[in-house]
Amino acid sequence: MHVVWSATAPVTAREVTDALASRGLAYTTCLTVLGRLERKGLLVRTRDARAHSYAAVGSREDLVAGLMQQALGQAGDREAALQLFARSVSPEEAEALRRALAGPADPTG
Amino acid sequence: MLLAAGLQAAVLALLLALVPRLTGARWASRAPASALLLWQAVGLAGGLLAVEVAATTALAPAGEDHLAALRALPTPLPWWAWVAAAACLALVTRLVGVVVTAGVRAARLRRRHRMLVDLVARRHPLLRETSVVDHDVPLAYCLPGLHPRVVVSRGVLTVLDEEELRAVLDHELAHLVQRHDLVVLPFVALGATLPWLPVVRRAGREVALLVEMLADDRAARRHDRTVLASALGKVAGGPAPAGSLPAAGSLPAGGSLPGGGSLPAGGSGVLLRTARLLDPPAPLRPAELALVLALAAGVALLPVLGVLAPLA
Repeated sequence: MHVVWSATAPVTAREVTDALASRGLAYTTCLTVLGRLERKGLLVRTRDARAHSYAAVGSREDLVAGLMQQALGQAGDREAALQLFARSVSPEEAEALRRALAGPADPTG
Repeated sequence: MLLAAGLQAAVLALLLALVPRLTGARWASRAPASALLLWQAVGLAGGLLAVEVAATTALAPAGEDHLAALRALPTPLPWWAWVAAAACLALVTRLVGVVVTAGVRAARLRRRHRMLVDLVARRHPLLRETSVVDHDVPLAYCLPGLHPRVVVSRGVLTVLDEEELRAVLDHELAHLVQRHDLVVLPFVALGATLPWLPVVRRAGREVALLVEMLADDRAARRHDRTVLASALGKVAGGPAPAGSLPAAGSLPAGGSLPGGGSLPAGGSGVLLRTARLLDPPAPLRPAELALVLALAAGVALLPVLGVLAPLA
């Protein structure tokens, strides 16, 4: 996936294999992984003369933004799916928090 | 036996009437685990009693008690008994259905979310079990399940120091280890089914808050409570801008409370949790704890009594 993101043009499975040569991945492995990512809607496939080329549907930043939105519950289903450490609070509450946290360290507080 | 159905309905109504007293009960924050147990008992008993009312009504014309009525079947039943039987069946299907649906939907969402996290996140260099996502909004959460993940955003790493981060991770690990997702699931399912019922909404919020307190307590076993509180404040309230902490003299009246750790009650969960961490309430005395546990057991037994009690 990182190879596809860093590429400027759609890449073929062969190119991905070459880019990841240091990891010694087989061509077929890359082909399988690319196919799986496509089925998950992360890549689009275009047919060139003989090989399929893959391009990312969204940038890495798009995916991260989507994840964060989901985590913040803007997708509506957060309650059941994941447990947030703390949701952000209103400015007044943030102020109250700050006061409470400053309290013990404040000799006059 | 219609009398029995009426009694069961009365017990159910009584149980529902008690729920508002349970939400926001002060003792709950002193013993979140026991309070959660009581909540589970109330939820279970409520569901079972509702089913029982319908079942008993359906069986009423067939015999003196449940067993005799079941033995006497098949017996010609009046139309309203059939209506009750259908209601009973629908209720069972519905109750089981919503929990299963909520569980399956949550699992699917989590799977997809985890796949994306694994794709875009990197491992924290020190805390290997943590996935770090490149985003400036401070956010920390966990994805429960068989392949759990703890996710923090880069924003969290910039506002928290290492000790605070470790405390947050222990909080999230507590969620994962104690499977808090399963504890809240019935209430999430209930909330999805009856979202307009205030009692249901309040119960859901209360259970979610208690689960957070439980995780706070577990994290506080290995970390200083003030460290976790400060992490909570930084993640929820954003980092305090340097020099913005007011001097005691400039606080509005009532702003600075004895001990410095007290917060106005009735605020959001984060405020309650912070107050609890800074100024820990005494745990329940053994006698009080026994009372709560006995109450939970008693509530859980109500549906059993509803079936076994002699039905005149």
